[in-house]
Amino acid sequence: METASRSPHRALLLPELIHEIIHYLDFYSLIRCQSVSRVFRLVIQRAIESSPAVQKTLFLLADADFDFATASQGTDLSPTFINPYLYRLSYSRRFTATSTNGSLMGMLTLRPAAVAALLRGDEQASWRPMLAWQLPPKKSLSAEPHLDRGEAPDLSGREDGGGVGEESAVKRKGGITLGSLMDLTRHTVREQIQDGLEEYEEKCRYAVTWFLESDPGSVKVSVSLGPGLYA
Amino acid sequence: MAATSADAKKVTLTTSDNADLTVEREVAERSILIKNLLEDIGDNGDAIPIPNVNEAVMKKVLEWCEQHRKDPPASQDDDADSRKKSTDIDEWDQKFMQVDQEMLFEIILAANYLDIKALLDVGCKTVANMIKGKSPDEIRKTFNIQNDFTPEEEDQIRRENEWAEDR
Repeated sequence: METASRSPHRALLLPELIHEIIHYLDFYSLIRCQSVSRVFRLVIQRAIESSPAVQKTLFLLADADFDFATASQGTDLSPTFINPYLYRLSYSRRFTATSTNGSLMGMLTLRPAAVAALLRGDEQASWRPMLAWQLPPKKSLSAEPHLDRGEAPDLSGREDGGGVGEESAVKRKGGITLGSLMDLTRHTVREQIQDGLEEYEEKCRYAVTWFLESDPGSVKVSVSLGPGLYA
Repeated sequence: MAATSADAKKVTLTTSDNADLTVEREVAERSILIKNLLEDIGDNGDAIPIPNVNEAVMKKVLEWCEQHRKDPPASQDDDADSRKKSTDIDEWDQKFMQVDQEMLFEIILAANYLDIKALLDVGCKTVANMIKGKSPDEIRKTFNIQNDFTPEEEDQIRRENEWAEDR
């Protein structure tokens, strides 16, 4: 019986074999495997630095082969398209995607852990350089913020949101990172709600609605940020 | 034209436990290690030593090589990064991999040593499928892996990854 338990150890202590295995893991499995043992953690961290395949799985690198046209025709979106790290579909049954005129719409709510991370303002967080969406990497993308009050709790005395100025927009070749999107979210909310921010953030869940337009020349991402959805 | 069984060239492989296994050269050459050895030393009829693989494992590996003898060879740049990441495994390979963990990892080690990329892939996909959806603790239990983090490291890792548990 001793032999039976030793063999898996032997194989799973070899970094080159773990490296092979992790290439078949999905986003969450890769994250979780870093907590298994030191050798798993080391191999995955090295792969994050050197392996384009792992970088793409973790949304650290735009996927040049990503099939945007196919992705935009489904009624549900693959988790390989939207970074599952901080977002989830708010209501999957209500979620719609259309391919009319190459446009794609959807609404997501930030996960509670994402809001917590946002509130902590963790500058060194590992998710910050991750891309929010997989989009053609050579396109220049922009995220334009709008605050939408939606079904937020009554916060009388505060202005309804609207455009918050072009200076807040994020434009970045290669994709919008979660860090920049989070900063934009927080900046937008802070700009619109001067007082009671803490109460506001505690009671609300941010919603991010987005609209992608795809044409041969450009891809545009418009983002509305609002606290309209509850858990 | 494919060689008939009567005229097919055969090679003998000597395993780590001194068993001689005789197989068709085409089957054995699914292993790049054996293929290169045969090209380098020539086929002089001598048995080829395979010191890192025992008879039971070698038989399983050769069973896989026999089934996949006509598959196209792996391309030169067929590394982990360029391969498709699908974890789909064809039906025959799935059945083939229905072995205990000891044998599964021995097959993976053998495929790695013998340089049989397609078999290594199947083995790694099988392990990856066993990992998916499990918590770190469940992964450790499944594979009998020791948690070698210090309590402080564990705390830090838990903080780093707490967001990932909220789904």
